[in-house]
Amino acid sequence: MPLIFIGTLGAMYYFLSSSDEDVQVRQDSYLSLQDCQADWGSDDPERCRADDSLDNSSSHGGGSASHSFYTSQANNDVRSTHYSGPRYFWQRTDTGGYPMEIRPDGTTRQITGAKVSNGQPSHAFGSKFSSGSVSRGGFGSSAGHFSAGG
Amino acid sequence: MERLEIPVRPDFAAKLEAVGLSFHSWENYWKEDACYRFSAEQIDEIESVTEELHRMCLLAVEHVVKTRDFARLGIPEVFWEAITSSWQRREPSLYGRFDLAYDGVNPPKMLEYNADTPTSLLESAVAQWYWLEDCFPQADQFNSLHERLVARWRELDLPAQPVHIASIADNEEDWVCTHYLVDTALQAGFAAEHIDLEDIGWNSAARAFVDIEDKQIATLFKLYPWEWMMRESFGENIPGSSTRFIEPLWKSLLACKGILPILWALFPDHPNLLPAYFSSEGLTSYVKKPLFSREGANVELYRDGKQLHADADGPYGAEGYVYQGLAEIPCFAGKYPVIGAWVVGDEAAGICVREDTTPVTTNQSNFVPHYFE
Repeated sequence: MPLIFIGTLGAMYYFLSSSDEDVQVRQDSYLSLQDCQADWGSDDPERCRADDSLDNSSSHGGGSASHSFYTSQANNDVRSTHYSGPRYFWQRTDTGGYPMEIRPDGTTRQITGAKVSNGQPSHAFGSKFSSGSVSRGGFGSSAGHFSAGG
Repeated sequence: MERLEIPVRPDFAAKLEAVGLSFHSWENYWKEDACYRFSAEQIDEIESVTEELHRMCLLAVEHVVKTRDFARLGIPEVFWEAITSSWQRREPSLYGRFDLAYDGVNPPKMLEYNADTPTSLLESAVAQWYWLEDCFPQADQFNSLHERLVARWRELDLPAQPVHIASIADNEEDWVCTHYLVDTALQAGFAAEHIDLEDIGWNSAARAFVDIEDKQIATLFKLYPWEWMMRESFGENIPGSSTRFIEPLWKSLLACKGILPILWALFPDHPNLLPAYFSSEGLTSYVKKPLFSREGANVELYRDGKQLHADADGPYGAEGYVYQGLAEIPCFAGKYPVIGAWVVGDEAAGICVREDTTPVTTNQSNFVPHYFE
């Protein structure tokens, strides 16, 4: 049975976790339903929705949520009808990862059948990002001076 | 099974500290001026009973999920679907520990199942193993905990991101237990790090739990009871979050003492169970246990209707009680031992013995090593 060298664990982890894995939520915009489905598939009709919220707006306009911004990949070609893909973040794995949809009720689920790879849609004209706000201290209040184990 | 008084190792403190058991002398927790000797047949019995009880507990979980009997177990309704989903997906478990009453002669009796947040892990897996090598090298010990934990991490099919292993801040015992688990995860080939539970963050946009650097927590081992997590402010974020929890949500059913009367109803008169009910009606010698409690807090003992023991100092009992027939805990030289029977995955993985001067095992009970031959 090997000896335990607890003091080395922190340094080992710091080395292993040096990649950038910050959670970033993204939603891509499309000029047509076909473009959206080319990235996200057509299995779920709720996944690509007509969205008029960007009509007459600049492609660089700011988002409404805190810490969010909007970027364009193709000029200022915003038309009166366009489509939005799902809100999602990229779940990284050792084989690249997969998109996780954040549904309107706040729950998440893996998106299967999507054609986006490495978190990059290929048919979108723009994407909205949000890093969100982080709160802490929501766990731990019940313990008092007691051990949480048994 | 017998209790032997033996000489202590002259350098035992340094040896325990070398493996990380920093709190060995608190209330004389680690006690090696005595040990318990078992026969191989007794160990075989404990092993088979442990696996039988674990199988019965899984059937009890299946029963609760099927009948949606969550309310009697004090589970908030918002978690019912998430528990059902966790069970239906058979989210794998890492480990747990039964507490058994056993005298070496009569069948072991299940006192409870610490299925969610068992501690005493480092001393069981490592410290008593080195004690055996020093003191009884010719004997054996029922202890494959370390090897099985390392192997079990590999079976969990975890995502590639680091495993976060959390315990509450400023609690030495929990810190030691979780840092040992970090070590087992590292030895299994995973990146793993400890995080204070209070430092866990919630990213509202991503609807994801994050660590102190705002990186998503893909897998979280939490040495923190489900019943507490469910009722704290972040609890509402658990269902539907992308974080994978260890232990899984379905284990909250086994961590509740309400599983005891459910087991008794499903397996009446089973030789390894004690009668248990949601009311004391018909019982004269029994233990009154809060649905949620740990380390003997708020437990009351009655024999022939007379109270023998009561601990009112703990914080438990608000969610209700169960009533379990009084087990006959054997007494060796004035000490009452309870067998901690470890389960890793679905297999028995070893035992520990903790003894006390009363029949109730508490956080001040002594850890006494064991061997068999």
